[in-house]
Amino acid sequence: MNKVVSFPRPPLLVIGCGNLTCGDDRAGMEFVRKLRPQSCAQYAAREMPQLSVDLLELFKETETILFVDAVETGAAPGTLHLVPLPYAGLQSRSLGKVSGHGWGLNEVLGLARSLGREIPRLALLGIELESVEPGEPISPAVKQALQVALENFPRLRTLLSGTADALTRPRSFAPGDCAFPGEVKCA
Amino acid sequence: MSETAQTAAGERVLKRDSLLTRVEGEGGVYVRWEQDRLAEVRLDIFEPPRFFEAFLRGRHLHEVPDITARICGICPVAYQMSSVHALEAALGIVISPAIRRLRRLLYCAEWIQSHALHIYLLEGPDFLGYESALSLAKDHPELVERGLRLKKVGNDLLEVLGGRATHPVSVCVGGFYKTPRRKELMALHESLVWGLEAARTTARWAAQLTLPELTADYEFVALSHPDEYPMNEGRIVSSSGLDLTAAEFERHFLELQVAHSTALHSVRTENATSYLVGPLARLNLNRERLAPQAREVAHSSGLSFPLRNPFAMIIARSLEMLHAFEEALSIVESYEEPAQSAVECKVRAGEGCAATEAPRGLLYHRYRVNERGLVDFAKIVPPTAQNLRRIEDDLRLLLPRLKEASDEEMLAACENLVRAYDPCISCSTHFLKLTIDRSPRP
Repeated sequence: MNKVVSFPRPPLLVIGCGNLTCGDDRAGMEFVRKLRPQSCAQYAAREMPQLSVDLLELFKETETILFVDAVETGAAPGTLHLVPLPYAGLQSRSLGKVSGHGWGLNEVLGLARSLGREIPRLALLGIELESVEPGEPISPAVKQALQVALENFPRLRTLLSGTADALTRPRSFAPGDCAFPGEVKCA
Repeated sequence: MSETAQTAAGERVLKRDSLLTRVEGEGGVYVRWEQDRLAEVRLDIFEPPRFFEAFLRGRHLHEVPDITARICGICPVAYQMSSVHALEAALGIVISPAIRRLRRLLYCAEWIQSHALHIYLLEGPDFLGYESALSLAKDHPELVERGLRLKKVGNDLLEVLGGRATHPVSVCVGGFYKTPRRKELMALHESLVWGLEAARTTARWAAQLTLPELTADYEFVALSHPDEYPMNEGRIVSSSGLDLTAAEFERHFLELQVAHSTALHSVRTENATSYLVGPLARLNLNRERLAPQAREVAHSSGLSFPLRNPFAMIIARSLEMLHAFEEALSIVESYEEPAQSAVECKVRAGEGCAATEAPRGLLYHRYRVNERGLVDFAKIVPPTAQNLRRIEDDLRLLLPRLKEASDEEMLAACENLVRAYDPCISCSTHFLKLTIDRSPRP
């Protein structure tokens, strides 16, 4: 019998969500596609266009999950929102109950609790969208936001890999604000 | 967004004021009573049209399997299989026996994934008196854990064969872009052996469930193959005696537009009646070709064939999942890496069609390609669309028994029935909005 070789699990898993064919809805997918080539022992990146109950299996694989997805709060397009999950004040496009068979994040968390499964630390990087018209390209504002987020990803990783209370409150950053992801305290 | 509004006539009407971009599909049941008489039943499908047949026009045939896979996040393999078989028919390509077996293995993975999810997390709670998988998990975590683990075996198999568990990317016209190494498949052997046992337990468990009583006079339609339980190949047969090649499908099955559904309805051309595709039809027409353990459970569980209760679809799915584990293990154990992952594909003008068995039933594709390999015409008839008319007929059978029931009881019963079909229009768990109009007509 061949044995599966198990590798150490990265402490951070970045999950990109969204629809690649609908303008800014592709923001999360673009983020992980750009991030993935640099994946290392400290983090992994994967696409999950929409949530499903399979998310539950990923809970075992990491200490922290960062979802990256388009959001619509009324802020200026390209605004970056960084929030701990679950968080009722901000609904991303993919984490709600729009997934196959009704498995949004809350349902998966409910099932995890019912089954007594351990839940990793969860956070959302929400990118304020401008347009999600089918067939449209990503907007310049969201493109710039992606660039800021990617350039500052090492600091974001440090923030999320830090102490449990490193991200307890939502943070928002106006378009082009290179202070993202804000204050980072090393553990 | 959707909301329920009250009209002056006392009728509750579901309104949609915007469309979601990532629509899995939503449906609603409209029921109108005139006094005690069931006057109207509609399964409203208001998911926006997705125009895949139009998208495909002008695209190269090699893009088709990956585009059609995007039609469904639950059964992408089925769309890939029907499309490649149809295109291979158009190009006169005959695949090798090794590729054929790998494609059956791929289909086994999808049946396991899809059936496990539906049996344990979607439909199972209905028969055990639970509102959802979440509440079932609180009292019976072992059942939900079993379902999740069974599904994961399907996911893992799909990931090895298809490159990823959702929307696999390995399938091409003529075979696969890449075939797995033997050691990659054998790494799954242990979990497949566990899955086989768990699937046998599941099939016995499902066969003893107490199901609501409802019997319908179905015309069952499925593929049938002389030597195997149907997945990728076979003739299209029915319980009324049809025995067709895929090329004859459109002569005998007609798609109709109806005002209340953005999905087409399908009927039999000869008499405009509904028909049933899916696990129950497959099982009733092919049960002697189940793998040995599945056949043994089917025969020893006291089931009386043909099964004509729509709620027995959970039993059919359970037996098919057991079959899929048996066949998957057999293919994995005997697997030898093929010398070529695909046969050569010479582009030419042509037309071809194929039907394969998606988890939810017969899936028909037809393509016409030109000499440059571009798609000039595409037709796709999904299983859920074929069953929509039949679901409405079943609701007409069910509802008269419920005329004294409260709206809540009626909603639950309608939901259970629709959920039994595992429709791919969307969330099988509580996806329905029920509109009941009890106001007498003037």
